[in-house]
Amino acid sequence: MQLQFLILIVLAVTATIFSIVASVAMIVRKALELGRSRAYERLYRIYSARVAEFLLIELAPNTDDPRPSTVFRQYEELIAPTKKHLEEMNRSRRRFHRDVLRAVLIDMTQDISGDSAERLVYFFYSLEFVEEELRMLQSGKWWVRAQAARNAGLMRARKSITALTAALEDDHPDVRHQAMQALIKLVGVDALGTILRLSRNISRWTAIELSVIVAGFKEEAVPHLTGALESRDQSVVLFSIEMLAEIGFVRAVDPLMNLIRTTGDFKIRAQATKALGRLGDSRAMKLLTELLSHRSPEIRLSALEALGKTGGPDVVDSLEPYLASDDWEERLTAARALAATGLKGIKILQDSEKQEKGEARDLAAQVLEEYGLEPAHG
Amino acid sequence: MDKSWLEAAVQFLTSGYLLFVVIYFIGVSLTYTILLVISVREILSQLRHDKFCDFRLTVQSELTPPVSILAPAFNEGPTIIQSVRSLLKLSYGKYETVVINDGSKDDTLAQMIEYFKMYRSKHVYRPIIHTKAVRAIYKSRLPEYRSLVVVDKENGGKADALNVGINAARYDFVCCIDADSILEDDALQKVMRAFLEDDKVVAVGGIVRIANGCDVVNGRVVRVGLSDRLVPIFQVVEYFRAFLSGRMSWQALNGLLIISGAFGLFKRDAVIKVGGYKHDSIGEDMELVMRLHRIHLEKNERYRVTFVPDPVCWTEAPDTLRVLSRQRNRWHRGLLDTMLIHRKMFLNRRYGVVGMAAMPYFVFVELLGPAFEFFGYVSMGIMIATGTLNEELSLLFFIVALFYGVMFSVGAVLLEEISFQRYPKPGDLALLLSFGVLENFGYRQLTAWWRVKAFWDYFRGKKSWGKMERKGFSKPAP
Amino acid sequence: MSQKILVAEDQQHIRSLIEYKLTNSGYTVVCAEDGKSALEKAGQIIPDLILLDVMMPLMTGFEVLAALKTDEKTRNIPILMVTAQSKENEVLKGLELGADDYITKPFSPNELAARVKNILMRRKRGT
Repeated sequence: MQLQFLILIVLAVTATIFSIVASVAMIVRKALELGRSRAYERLYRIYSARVAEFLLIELAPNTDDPRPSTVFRQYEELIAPTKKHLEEMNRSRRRFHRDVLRAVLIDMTQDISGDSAERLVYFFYSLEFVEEELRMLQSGKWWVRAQAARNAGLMRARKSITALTAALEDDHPDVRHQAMQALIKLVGVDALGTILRLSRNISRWTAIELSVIVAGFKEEAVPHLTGALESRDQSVVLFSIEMLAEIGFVRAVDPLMNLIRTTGDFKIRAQATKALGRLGDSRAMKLLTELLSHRSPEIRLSALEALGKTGGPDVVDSLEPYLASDDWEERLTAARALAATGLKGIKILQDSEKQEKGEARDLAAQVLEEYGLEPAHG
Repeated sequence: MDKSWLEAAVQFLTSGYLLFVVIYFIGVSLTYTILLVISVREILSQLRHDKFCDFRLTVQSELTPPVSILAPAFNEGPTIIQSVRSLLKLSYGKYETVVINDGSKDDTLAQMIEYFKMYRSKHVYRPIIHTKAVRAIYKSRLPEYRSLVVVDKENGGKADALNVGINAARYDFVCCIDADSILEDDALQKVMRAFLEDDKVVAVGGIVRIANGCDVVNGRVVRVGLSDRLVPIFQVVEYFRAFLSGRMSWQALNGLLIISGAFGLFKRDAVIKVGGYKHDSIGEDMELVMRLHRIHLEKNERYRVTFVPDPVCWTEAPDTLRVLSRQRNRWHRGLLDTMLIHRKMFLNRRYGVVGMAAMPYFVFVELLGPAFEFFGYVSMGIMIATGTLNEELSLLFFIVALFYGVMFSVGAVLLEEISFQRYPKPGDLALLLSFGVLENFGYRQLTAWWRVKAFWDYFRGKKSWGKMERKGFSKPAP
Repeated sequence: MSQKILVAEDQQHIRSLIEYKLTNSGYTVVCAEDGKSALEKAGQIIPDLILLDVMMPLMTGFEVLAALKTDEKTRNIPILMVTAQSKENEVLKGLELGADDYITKPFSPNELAARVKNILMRRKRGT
């Protein structure tokens, strides 16, 4: 008995001591890190000033020999002393300095444009940062690959385009995202075609990241998006539909109508219907009116909404019956659609408010208020 | 003769019990170690993932789904305007703020109507979930407050108020908070990401931190610090334990049973499908999550309840023992109530991880743990009183109790240190660690006593409904 | 006596770029790392131009701008705002609050120097 107790006590005491030691270690580590981050900041300041000089110093003009290689030689002269200094350091110090230097260069590249930006790209290559990133793209750890993909894009390293395209099919989603963004930085909107072709199962999150980039390209993205409508992956098609609706280019109307007619997927059909509404083109009217009587409730709702947005007074007759639908959501959507069509639809709602009782009247009142047509009394 | 027989019996019972408690502590420590290891792995993986996510994109994109924030308010007169104003300034795309006035007796409603220039809206209220009567819905005349909706209703308690909010909400995602929760600017961005990355997710919780000692300006925490009073600092360590080691590991196993009432994001459809909050439950936040698990498991539908380790919400913690004891009493009664309501799932294989691992953990560690510990001290008291003190066993009990407590606390603080490092000064870290150790010399025993008493209060209260009055909203469990 | 420019910018690398460019163009440059110290230094040295970043911690560029315009001593100092791209509302807000011109990131240092020169020349002619 005695021995067992002793063992247990010793174990408990050891564990407690271990906890205390671990705590002290953590505190010490925190204090050290504070020191390290100060050292980092100091070094960042130094390299920041130095790189500013590299980027902005006026070089002797080469009117008699304007080949790129001469310019590159001048750039090389600028950084030669720094390179020599780095080589003379021991391994860990060099690692630290290179990390700071890389950080400075990457920060600069995001905020600077013009001639200085060209010099930056040269420095990335010359200091072998690009090589390093290409090596890291092959790492076994996904976060290393993802960071490398991101850096490759920021460094504007065209040499990495092949590796990045391969990374589009990486196992880990974060690596794929970073590769997408990097490729778009490097290649521009044409990368979009490849990206949409190779993507599978885009989560909403990825869609949002992509959407911000795609929205920036506006009409240039449209041909790639319409091409992607034929993808076999539902998420890619849905994404393309939403982006086409958002960019709002009327060239998308025909492909979307075509898609509605040919696809068997209800979700895609519903989304494309909504998109037609947002594009607001009258060519779609006939199709939308047909869809009002589709058997899927989601498609009917999308059609109601879309007609409200595209149609003028003519659609009012098609919409009005739905005010009496059995489904509350259909009644609400129809009411909103009517208000959206203009004065004729609004008049119907106002009449409904005066003449009908109960729910129909309340619904009309709510929608009229949403459109700012109800007198607001406290 | 009789006396020595009695003595022997007492000695046997108390020693036996103490031995049981020692083994219990060791068992719990092992379980805890496993949870801690899982947590560390999860947090590190999340942190790495975070580095590659630009949350601000959710603000810029049209594809971001809009959110309805639901803030039930009861007698919040002095702070309501400030709270609502800071809710309106969150960094997110499209969202609405629905304040539900739960029949306040003070001027909460009147203040809002006046400040935000509100009028009675014709918006139709549809009671999809059954609730107490709604008196009116108010909207603002001013364009800058267009996203604010105030619902005035009869008093019915927090669960009922939230159900009204769910009924009245426009959007597909609802964020249920306290009116005085201090949200981080990017809280919605961070938590919505969980839904966006996996569309099987039905509920997401976030970390609630303690605001005592922090500088709060215009409803935002601008500088993190520790209170200069003892009671809040103990709670900081406790909250680390609950959130970082507890929830992170459970959500990895899809066995997360609690989402804090101070901040939780839900898919509106999912909540309506399970019937909304249960209005006569004590721990309604935990009860809803349990029900979400239950219904989805019963219907064999794929789902996830998850947790985002980013700090998203700050709350004022009680700074006196008296207020703290009331809070803990209520939390524990809520835990007990919820476990009883869902006892069918307990150790029921049909309910997977929830029934076979998460619930037993909650029952044997969270619910009954304090009782076991408390009666350990009682046993020792008896042993001393009857002169049958077993020195080795008592020493062992003390040491194991100490070790188990220190490990929990220190482990949790270290987790925070590895991950978020929100407390920048080494001095604060040292303070937290020492409190993690100190709390085992009195504070933890005190909370154990409160929680044991909660059992007594619960069963007493059950028998006389009149005793269980709800004076507005008390602070929800973390 | 060269003209004094106050640069209020929280990011080191941008500060270095601007400082180098403007110093090389013949100005005397004073740097501030956040809004509060920018206001202090503006009041002390009364620069000839202030370069103001919009996104700064603690006190945003707009708050600094507003404060500069209310203080008698600093009200008439010309201000060049530095904003992030695609933030049109930032630009409009700044101009409404009284900034003289703006430049968006990513920016060309040459363009920055040219705008600075322009503003200073306009001011000189104006007085």
